[in-house]
Amino acid sequence: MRCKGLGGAALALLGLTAGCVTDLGEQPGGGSAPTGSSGQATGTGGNGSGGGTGGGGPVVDEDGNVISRPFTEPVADPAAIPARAWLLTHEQYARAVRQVLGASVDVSAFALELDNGEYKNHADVGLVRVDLAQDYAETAEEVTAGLTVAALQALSPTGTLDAASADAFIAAMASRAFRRPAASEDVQRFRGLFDVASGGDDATYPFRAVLRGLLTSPYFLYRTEIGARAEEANPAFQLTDHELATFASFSLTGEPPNAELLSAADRGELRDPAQLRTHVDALLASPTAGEQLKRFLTEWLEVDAFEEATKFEETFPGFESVRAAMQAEVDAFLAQSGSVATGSLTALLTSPVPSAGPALDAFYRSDPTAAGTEQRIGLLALGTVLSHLGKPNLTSPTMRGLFVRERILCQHVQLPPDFSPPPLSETQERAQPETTRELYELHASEPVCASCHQLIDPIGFNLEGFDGAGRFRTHENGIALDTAGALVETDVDRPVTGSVELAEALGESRWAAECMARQAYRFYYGRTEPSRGVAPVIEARTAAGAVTELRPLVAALVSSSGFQRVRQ
Amino acid sequence: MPRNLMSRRRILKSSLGALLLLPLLRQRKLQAQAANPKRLVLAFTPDSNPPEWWPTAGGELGFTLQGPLEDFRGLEQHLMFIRQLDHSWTYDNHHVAGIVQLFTGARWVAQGSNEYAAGPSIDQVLLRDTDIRGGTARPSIHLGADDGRTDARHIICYTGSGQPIINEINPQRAFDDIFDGVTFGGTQEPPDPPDPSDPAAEREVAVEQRQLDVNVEELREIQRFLGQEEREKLELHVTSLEELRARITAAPGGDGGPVTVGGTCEEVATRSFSSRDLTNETALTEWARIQADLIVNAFTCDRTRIASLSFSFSGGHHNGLLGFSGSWHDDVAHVSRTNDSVSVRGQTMTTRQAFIEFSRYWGSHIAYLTRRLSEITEGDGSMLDNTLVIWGVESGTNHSHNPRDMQYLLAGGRNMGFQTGQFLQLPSTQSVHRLHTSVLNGFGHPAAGFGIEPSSGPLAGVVG
Repeated sequence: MRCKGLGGAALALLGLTAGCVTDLGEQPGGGSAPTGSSGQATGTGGNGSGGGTGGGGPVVDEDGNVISRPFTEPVADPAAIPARAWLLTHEQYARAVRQVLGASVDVSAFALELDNGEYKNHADVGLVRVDLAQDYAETAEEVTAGLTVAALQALSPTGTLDAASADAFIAAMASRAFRRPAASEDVQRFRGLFDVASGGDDATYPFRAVLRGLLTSPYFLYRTEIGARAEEANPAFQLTDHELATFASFSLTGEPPNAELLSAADRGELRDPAQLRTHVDALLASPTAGEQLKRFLTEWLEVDAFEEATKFEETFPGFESVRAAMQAEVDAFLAQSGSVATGSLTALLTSPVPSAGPALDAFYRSDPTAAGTEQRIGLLALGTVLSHLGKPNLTSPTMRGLFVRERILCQHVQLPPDFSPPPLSETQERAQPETTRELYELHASEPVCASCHQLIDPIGFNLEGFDGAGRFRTHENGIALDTAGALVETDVDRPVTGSVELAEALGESRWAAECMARQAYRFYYGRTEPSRGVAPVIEARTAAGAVTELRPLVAALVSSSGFQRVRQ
Repeated sequence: MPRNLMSRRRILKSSLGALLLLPLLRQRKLQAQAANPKRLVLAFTPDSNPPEWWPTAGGELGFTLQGPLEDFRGLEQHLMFIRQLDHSWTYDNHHVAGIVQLFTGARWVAQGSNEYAAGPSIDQVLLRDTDIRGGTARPSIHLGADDGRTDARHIICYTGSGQPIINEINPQRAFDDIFDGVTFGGTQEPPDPPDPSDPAAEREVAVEQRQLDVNVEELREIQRFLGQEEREKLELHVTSLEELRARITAAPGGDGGPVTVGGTCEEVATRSFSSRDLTNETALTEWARIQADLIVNAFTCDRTRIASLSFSFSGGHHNGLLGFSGSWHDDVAHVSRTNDSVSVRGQTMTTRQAFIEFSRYWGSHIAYLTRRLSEITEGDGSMLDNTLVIWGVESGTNHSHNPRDMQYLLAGGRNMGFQTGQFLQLPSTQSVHRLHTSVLNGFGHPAAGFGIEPSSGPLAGVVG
């Protein structure tokens, strides 16, 4: 995961053209189309995925200043979800192998997984290049070669390993590997493989060969969402019961569907929304659902990028020694405020951060100007978040402000379509600001810069009471800090001072509540929503209630049936 | 998971493996005799360069190199500079937009949620549409010195829309993949003679082939239910399985066996290298050279004819590199028009001087690769004559967050007609798509344009 958006202090010298707005992609698939041509630098439109939360254009007063934009309900979007083949992540793959064979595999040296900058499980980045195909093939060969005869016999419905039991073995194991009943075509294909492998001295070899083939089969490696074979000619289709089981289980728990869920699919129960919801609730009661929720929240908060945060020791002495404690802090915080049982967006934004021990407490108060009375409230006060969103030697109000805009409010700060950076002057003098705030306020001193930075930096200024490593401070370079800022172009616009007021304001935001549902959609559906009005998002937000409870939100999201799937 | 390819090893010792090998061997030898191989290297270094990166007028060839390209001295006749070449679109600070279109000429798939390029890079187009591969063991190799992340800031080559190719940053892994089965030292171990008494090995080969057949058949079946985008994703999987099939049946040393087309096919020492530290100049330099050596020797062993070499990533700050404690991005590149003082390698200098040092450092790695290629005799000239190196960066001159006056340096490729030894001062601004098109044309591809300008035409003066 990475931080996107405007660069750092250097933008003070660059300049951005006037007209910067938060993205308003209200229409399904909205956003302006790219129109660039030779020699003409142009912006590109979004894919409608961005933060259109307000509706209409920016509201400005008579002086042209952007003013508050109240929340408006999204327009229902009938957009369909395309049929897809969703590659298992390496972690899911290992769990699936374990379920099929009861054996563990090591995926730590597998080909690296792609990262499209959103969530790592997104379906569009699941590509099988030759190195990964080779990883799959070698792993299948090794894990099947390592099975004892007794283990193989245990996998055979007849308990025997002879030619007469081959078809039953294939049907049983293909059903298990493919997470659906094996079709006659499946049995036929793998019987052909069995026959090619037969004839040698080792009677187990053909059975191992079948298992190898199943573990490299696309029906095993992908979560196919293509509907029933009989519906091939239909442009619109529904997921089969078994596809629903696979979707719900992998999405909610990161694991393949268990026997109980597959039995329900066999009985045709899952197309009934009420019954699907019952099974979803059961899945959410499992410990792995909690792990999956934590995985989502961790990626949402970009905590996984924390390990890349580097700090200058001379500026933030002791940072490296408390890195593990910062990780423990976020773990404890998510266990408290982001659990399946009691987690909510309100808690994530406004609950006190639990102490992660005396060493981290001491580090947080190691700046000589720390007052000793400050509070750490909500996710924006986590050491991991604050230090990740900063420079090695400074804070970055721009990075912090963009984080709130993009991750908490689902807003893109959108440059105008004809934006082109002006050429730089060779004689430009460098500014020498005393404080970080002063440096970033240079952005607002030039109109071309201000249009974007006025939407971003004031939010970051609220967090200036935490330095670049998340320590409390009241002064910078001997100058008293000013943590006053403002929220503009949100539904909770107001002057804001300090991190606690910011957390409280965001806790009241309906845009933030909707954004939580949208972020969850991106993770649990493995794709970016075509607009804010898609049914799962609307249903999830409604179910989550006033404090945006996570459990009903996720349950409604995954149980949603208010949309179609199409072959496009 | 060790890459032991147990089944492959068995195949190579089987009669069937040897039988499969022979026609390919003959084919490769004939190709080597028939023509000089054409090769392409795409290279990326981060940030951009100060104005001194451009040569001044004068000198035997009409241009003279300045400080940032000091390490290219003596190679001038192999170089081509092109001024007034612009990227055709930009967004935000151009960091991601710049690297996305660097060699693809494409836009991204979707801004904000998937910023991978929405089209293939020129190397992959050549692989797809021409015979540049020539039967080599690997279609292309993609090496880098980077931090292991895989988002769009770290990718320069693409198979197709939304299909990025991840760089291999681990030299040992790169070596194991590129030279899998190669015997070094000048003597090629012949494959074991056919062993008709080993039906188990034959059966294993048959099983592997059948397994691939089944999996391909299944992929084809799933494709019927999908839209275009998803079908293309699975087509990549099919291609990978066919490539895997080729690897399984290939001989030690690849299908080319002992054929070498220039220099000596020799082993690159990678095993002692483990420090992948992007802030340590000594370690990074060694890392860069090992990766460059791997490319050179992949060429001399004719393991591939397409490579990319990528350093760090777009938008990086490189804190700590060259002994400078601040951010090269914020505290040097963007303020290099001032006379602020900074400390680099323990010496105090102006930010302008520092930027030149920084630029030279990255350029030195490309110069090393270029010089090595120039020192290997091949035919009547050097390996560089049969290899085009294209080096690009992410931003316009002076790290301006601007898509204008992009610094693309072409090196080599004389035998393909690339008119090196000149500083091409374009009379007016041209889009980079013209350069892409010229490169494709130089390799025999009939493209009329590239990327988002499919009719851009070539750039006059690049290929003669």
